[in-house]
Amino acid sequence: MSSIKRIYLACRAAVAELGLSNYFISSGILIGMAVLGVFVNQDSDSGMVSALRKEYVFWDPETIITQIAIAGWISGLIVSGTLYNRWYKEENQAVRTLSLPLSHGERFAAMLSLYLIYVPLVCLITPLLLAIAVYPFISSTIMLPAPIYLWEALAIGWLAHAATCIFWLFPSIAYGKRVAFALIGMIAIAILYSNLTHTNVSTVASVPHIATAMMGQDVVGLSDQSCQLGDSPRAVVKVSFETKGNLYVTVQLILASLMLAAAGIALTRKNV
Amino acid sequence: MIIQANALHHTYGGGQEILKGVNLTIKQSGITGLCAPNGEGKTTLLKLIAGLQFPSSGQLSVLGQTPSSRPLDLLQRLYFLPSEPFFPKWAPRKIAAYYGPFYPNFNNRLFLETLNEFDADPDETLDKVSFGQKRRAQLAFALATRTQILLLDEPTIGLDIQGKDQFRRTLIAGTEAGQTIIIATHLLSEIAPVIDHVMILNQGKIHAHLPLELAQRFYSFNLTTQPLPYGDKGYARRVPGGWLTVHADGRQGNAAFDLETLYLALTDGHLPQPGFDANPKTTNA
Repeated sequence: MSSIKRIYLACRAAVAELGLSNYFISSGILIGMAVLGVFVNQDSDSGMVSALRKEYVFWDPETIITQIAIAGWISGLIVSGTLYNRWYKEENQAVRTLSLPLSHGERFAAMLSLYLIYVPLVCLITPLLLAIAVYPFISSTIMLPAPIYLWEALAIGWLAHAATCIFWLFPSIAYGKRVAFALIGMIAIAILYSNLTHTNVSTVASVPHIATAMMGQDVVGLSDQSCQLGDSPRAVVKVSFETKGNLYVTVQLILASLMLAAAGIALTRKNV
Repeated sequence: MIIQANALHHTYGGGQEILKGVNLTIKQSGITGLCAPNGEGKTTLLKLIAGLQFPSSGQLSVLGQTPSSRPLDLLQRLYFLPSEPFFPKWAPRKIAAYYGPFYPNFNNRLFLETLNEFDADPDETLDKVSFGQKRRAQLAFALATRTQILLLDEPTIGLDIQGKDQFRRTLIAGTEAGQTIIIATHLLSEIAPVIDHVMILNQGKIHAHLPLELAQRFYSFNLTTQPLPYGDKGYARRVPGGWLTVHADGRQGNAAFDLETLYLALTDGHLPQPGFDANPKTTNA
C-alpha cells in the first residue's frame, strides 16, 4: 500500500469518527451571532439598528466576513480539539493514529491534511454557504452584502485557524501543558525581534516643524495623521512612513520559523 | 531474535522511574504471560515494545528494529491492545473496514468468524453493547490483524467463561501460525492453560522469565496441614484445607502446579530459579 493511500485511510478514519454535529457548529455560531445582531440595538450611525424597531438592518461585507471568520475559527478550535483529544490522548491507544502503522511523515501529513485543509473547509465553507443561501430569501428589512464580497472570509478564517494550529495545537501534541510556556517564550522573542528590527525596516524622516510642513513638496508619503502637532512647537517632528511591506516579510519569516519548529517538536516528542 | 531489551530504563515526567534496567529476550514465537504487581510497569513495557513510549535509556530491539523510531515495517507487524482502549463507537464491521486495511495481514473472515464464536454481533454499534461484548470485538480485531507480535494488556477482563475459553483457543491458533503473544495480566490462572513462558516483572526489573514446562518440572507443589518448618527453603501459602507449599527441588508433588502460587513464591518467597544460584533469602509465609 502506498503512502498516499495510508494517509488517505488515516484521514478517512478521522473524518468518519467526527460526528455529524461537527459539521454544523460554525453555521450554528453564525446564526447565533446574526440573531444577536438583529435583536441587539446597535449604533444607528454605523448603519446597524434593530429590526425589532422596524428599521433597516444593514450588514456591511466587512462585518459578515468577520462573523464568518470568527464562527469558522471558533468551530475550527472545537473540531480540532476533538480530533486532538481522540487521536493524541496520552493513554491507551488502540486503533488511533499513534498506534496505527503510519510512518512519522505519513502521520504528520495526515495531521496537516486534517487540521489545515479538512477542518477549515468544514468550518468555513458551511457558514459561507449559509450566508450565500440566505441572501436571496432574506427579509427586505435586513440588508446583506452580495455573496461575491464574502469570499475573503475563507482566507481570513483559514489564516486564523492555521495560526492557532501552529502556535497551540501542533506543539501541544508534542509537549502537552508545557507548550504554554514555550508559546509565551516564542511570542516574547517575536515581539523582541520585531522591536529590535523595527528601525531597520522602517524609514523615519525628520521634518522641520514649520507652518507649511503639511504642504511641503519634498516629503513623500507624509500625511496629516502621522504628524503630531503639540502646543509648543518643536524644531523637528519625527515622522514614520508606512512600512507594511517590510513588516509583513518579517512577520512571515517569524511564522515560518515557528511553524518549522512546531513541526519538528511534534515529530520528535518523547512521550505520547 | 523477536524481542531483546538490554538495561532498559523508563522514567516518567515527575522523575518516577518505572523500569530500572529490564533485560529481556524472546527468541521464539509463543505465548508469554507477563505478570507484575500494580504499578510496576507492565503496561509501560508493552508500550515501549509497541513504540508508543520511548525508553529513557537502554536498548530495545523488536523484530530487529528500534520501536522508538516507529519504522513502518515494524508497526505493520505489531498490534497492541490496551486494557481500556479508545475504540470508535461503531459496529465492529465498520471498524474492520476503516482500520483493518492498515494491517497487511488483516483477515476479515477470521474477524467475522471470531466475532461469531464470541457471540458478538458485527453490526451492532459498540455504544449499545455491554463491556464484555465490547471487549470481545476489540479482541476479535486484535486477533484478526494477524500481526507477528500481539501485545495484550489484561485481555480477559470482562469476558465470561465461554469468552475466555474461546479467547484461549484463538490464541493457540495464533501461535500455531507463528505469532508471538505477550499477555500482561494479574489473572495468571486464566491464561495458565495457554502460555509457554511466564515473565515476572518486579521492582522495575525482570525478576523471572521461565518456560512453563521447565517450571512445572523444577518446582514441586504439595498440600500440607502444617506451615513450613523453620529453615525450610520453600514457600508456603495458606489455602483452604491447609498450606500449599512450593519447593525448588524438582520432585513430584501431591498438588497441582499453580501459577499464582509460583508467582508469589518467586516474588515474595524469593525461591531460586532454574539456572540460577539459590537465593539465600527464605521467607516463611
